[in-house]
Amino acid sequence: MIILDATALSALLKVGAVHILLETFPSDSFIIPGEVWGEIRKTDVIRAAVDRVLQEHGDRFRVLEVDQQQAALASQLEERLHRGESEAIAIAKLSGARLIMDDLTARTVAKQLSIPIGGTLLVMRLAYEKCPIETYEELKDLINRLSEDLYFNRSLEEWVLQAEKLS
Amino acid sequence: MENLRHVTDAPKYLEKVSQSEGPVFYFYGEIPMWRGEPLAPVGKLRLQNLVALPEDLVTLIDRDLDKEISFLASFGLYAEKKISALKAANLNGMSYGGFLTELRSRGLRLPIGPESVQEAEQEYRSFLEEK
Repeated sequence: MIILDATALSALLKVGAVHILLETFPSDSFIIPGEVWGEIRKTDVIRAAVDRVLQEHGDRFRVLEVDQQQAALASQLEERLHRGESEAIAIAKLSGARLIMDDLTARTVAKQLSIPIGGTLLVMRLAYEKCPIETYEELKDLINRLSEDLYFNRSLEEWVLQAEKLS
Repeated sequence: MENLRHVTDAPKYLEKVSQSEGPVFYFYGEIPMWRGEPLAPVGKLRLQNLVALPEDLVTLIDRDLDKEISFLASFGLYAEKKISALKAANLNGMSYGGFLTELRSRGLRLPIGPESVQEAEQEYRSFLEEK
């Protein structure tokens, strides 16, 4: 099970790469915390995309409202974080799930809680290695499109682009 | 709060808002003022809500000054990892998508993690190990 945060999910939806998640992690289901879902649906283009994903892949993607225990932990994190990020971290921590998250501050909090974490760039690299992203050109195009809104330094871009296909 | 673009606008502005929003202070030069009168002693003033900017800078900012300061301050807090981007967006009454659009309009992009190749490699290993 993999928990998705708003920053990473928005980025993947915006570049039309959600199918990459499904194919890169074929045995995983994906959890979108309720507050994350609510937040990303505030943006028109993202709302349409996330609704389509849930409609087409409802067996793999699920919107989850936090339970009492998760809500209590999330509340402790809200001073620095949005409720959606707090919920994502709380669900991951209490369920032992992995977390895909790009936000600098939220990642710092998640790491302090020893949650296994990855980001959009990790997804891109793994997707190229495992072949959901078939060509180098496709990988490069996705990285370029991500960088329209998001900043990551050149060495990280190279780290992704140096990925090699697994046999 | 209504935009206060110039110190010289302050007296008019104060007349308008001081009744409904409580005392509003501003600086005229180095002297703290209230309703056009110098205030003293300075040590007794509550100035935490006051933002003093060079007038030359204020005249160059071609945006709503209150919103601009709020936006840039919250983005700064994100860059310092004190609040998340969504929190920053919501503090400005924006969606996350709207926040990114505002950044882009200033030629900025949202920094994301990991921040180094070493961090990325470590995440790569631990993410796969946990599977």
